[in-house]
Amino acid sequence: MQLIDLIYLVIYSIILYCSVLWFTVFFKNRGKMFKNPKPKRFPSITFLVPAYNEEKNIGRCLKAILDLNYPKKRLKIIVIDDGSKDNTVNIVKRFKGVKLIRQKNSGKAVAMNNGLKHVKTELVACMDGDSFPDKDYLLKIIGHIEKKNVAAVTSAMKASETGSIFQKIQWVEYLWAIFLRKLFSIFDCQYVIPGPGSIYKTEILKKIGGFDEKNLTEDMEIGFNIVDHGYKIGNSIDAYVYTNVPSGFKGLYKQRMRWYRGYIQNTMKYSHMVANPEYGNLGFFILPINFLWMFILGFLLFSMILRWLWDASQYFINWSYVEFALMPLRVNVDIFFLDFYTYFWFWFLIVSLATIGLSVFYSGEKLDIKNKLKFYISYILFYPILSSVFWIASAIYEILRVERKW
Amino acid sequence: MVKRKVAWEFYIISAFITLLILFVGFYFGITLSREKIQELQNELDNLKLRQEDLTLELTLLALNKNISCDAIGFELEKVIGDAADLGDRVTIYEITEKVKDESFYNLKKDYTLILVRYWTYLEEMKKSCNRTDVVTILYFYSNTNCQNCQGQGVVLTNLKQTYPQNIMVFALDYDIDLNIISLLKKNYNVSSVPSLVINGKVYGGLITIERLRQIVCTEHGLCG
Repeated sequence: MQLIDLIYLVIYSIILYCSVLWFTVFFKNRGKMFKNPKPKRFPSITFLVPAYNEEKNIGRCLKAILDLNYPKKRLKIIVIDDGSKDNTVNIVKRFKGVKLIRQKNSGKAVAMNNGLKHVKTELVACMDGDSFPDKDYLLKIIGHIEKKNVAAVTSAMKASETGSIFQKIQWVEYLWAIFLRKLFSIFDCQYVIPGPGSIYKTEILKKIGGFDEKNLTEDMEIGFNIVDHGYKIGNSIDAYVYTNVPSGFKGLYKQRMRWYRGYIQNTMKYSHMVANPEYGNLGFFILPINFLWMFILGFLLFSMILRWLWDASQYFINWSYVEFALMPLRVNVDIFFLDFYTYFWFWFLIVSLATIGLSVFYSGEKLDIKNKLKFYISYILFYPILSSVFWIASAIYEILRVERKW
Repeated sequence: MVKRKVAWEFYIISAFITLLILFVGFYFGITLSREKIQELQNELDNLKLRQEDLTLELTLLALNKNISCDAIGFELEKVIGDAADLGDRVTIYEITEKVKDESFYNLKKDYTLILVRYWTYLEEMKKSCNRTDVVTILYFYSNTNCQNCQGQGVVLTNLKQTYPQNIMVFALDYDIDLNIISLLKKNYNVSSVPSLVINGKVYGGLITIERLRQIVCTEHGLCG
C-alpha cells in the first residue's frame, strides 16, 4: 500500500464518518423533523425588504407578504430602497400600507440597519426583494421563536425557477439545504440566517448591534453573532420561501465567491469559536471539520485533475507509438475491477441517493423521477465538482487577499 | 444565555458505525482478494494440465516425424494466447490490489515458469516442424520503474493483432526472483527494461511499431 492510497483511505473515512454522523442525528430525531410548535398568539411583526434594482420581483414579493395568513393589523412592511436605478421605487409606492425608506446605494447590511431603526414591532422578518413567502409561511415559523433563548428562526428556501442546468442543480441543492438546516438546528449548530424569510426577536437583534456593514455575508455574521451571545437559532422545515437563484455559471460563481469568502471572513472574525467546546457542536465539530474540508477538497480536486492529465497524456503517448491505430478497448466486468475505492464509492452512492430521497421528502416535494431525474443526475454529477471549485477559488482569493466586494 | 453542550454520544456512536463499515470493507477486501487469487490459480491449473498434454505430444513428435505439426502448432498458439490473457490479469492484480495476498508471489513465479516452459515448447516445435514463419518475442518488462513498458505493451499488442499466428509474445517480469529468468537475462544480455528478445536477438529500449514491423519483416523474414 502506497502513501497516496493511505491518504485516500483517511479522507474517505472522514467523509464516511461525517455522513454517518448526520444520519445518526437524523435517525435519533426523525420524529422531530416536521414538528412546528403551535403559535399561542400572533406577535406583531415587521418585514424588512431591502431592494436594489428589483423592479422585476418586488411586486411579487410585496403581494405575497400582504397575502400571508396572518392578522393584517399585526403585520407591517418596510421596503428599504438601496438607491435603485430602475423602477423599483415607483412599484413599491403603488402598494398601500408599505413604508418606503430610501438611501443612497450602500449595501444590504446598511439597508437592513436603516430599516431596523424604524421597527417597533416585537419581531422582525427579512425578505429579500427577489424572494416571496408561501401563504402559510408565518404560521409555520412563528411558534419556533416563542421559545426562550431563541433569537432567530430560519425558513425553508426553495429555488423559484428551474430553467437552466445550474438552476436545476441549485433546486436540488436547496432541498438538501432544507433537510440539512433542520438537522443543523436540531444539532444546535446553525450559523447562517439566510436573507429570505428568517425572523428575529427585535429586541435581541438591536441589542447585539444589528448587521455588520463591513461583511460579505451579513446573514452569516449575524448567525455567528447570535451564537456568540449565547442565543439559539431555530428552524421551521416547512415555512417555505421561494427565491431566485442565478441561472448562469457567472452569476453562480459570483454569488458563491461571496458566500464562501464570507464564511472564511467570519470564521476569522469569530476564530475564538473554532475548536472551542463551549460553543457546543458548532465550535467543537462543525467549524473545525469545515476547515479541514477545504484542504480535503483541494487535495481531491488537484489529485483528480493531475491523475486525469497524467492518464490522458500517457494514453496519448502510447497511442502515438502505434501510429494512432485503433486500440482495442478491452473492458472485462469482473471481480478484478473491484478494489477498496469501489467499496467507498458504493457507500457514497448510497449516501447520495439516501440524502436526495430524504431531502425531497422532508422538503415536501415529490420524487417525480419522470420529470426530475435529470435534476438529480446533474446534481450528483456536477455539484461536488462545482462546490469544490468554488471553495478552492474562494480560499485562493482569500489567501491572495483579493479585495472583498459584495 | 444558553449553556451549549457537545453531543458526545453522537460522535461516539458514529465512530463505532464508521469503524464497523470499515471492518466490513476490510473483510470484503480480504475475501475478494482470495477470490481473485483463486481464479488466477484455477486458470493456472488449467494451463498446467494442457502443458502435460503438450509434453506428451512433443515427445511423440520427437519419436515419430509423421505426427501432425499443424495440430501441435495450433494447440501451442492457443495455449500461448490463453497464457498471455492470464498474464494480463496477473498484472492487473499486481498493480491494483493494495494489500496483496501472500500466495500471490508464488503464483506469479509458478505462472512465469509455465510461460517459459511454453516458450521452450514453441522453440522445440519450430525446430522439429521447420516453422520459420513464427517469430518468438521475449518481452522483459517491469511493473516498477519502467517508463516505457506500458507503451511497449501497447506496441506489442498492436503487432500481435496484425500477425496473430506468426508472432508469439512472452512477457517476463524483469524483477522476478527466479533462476531461469536470471539465466535468460544473462544469456541474451538483457540489462534494461523494456527489452525485446526477437528470435534470440536482443533489442533494448522502447521499439515503436514502425521499427518493430521493420525488424520482424526484414531481419526475421516474416512479411516476405
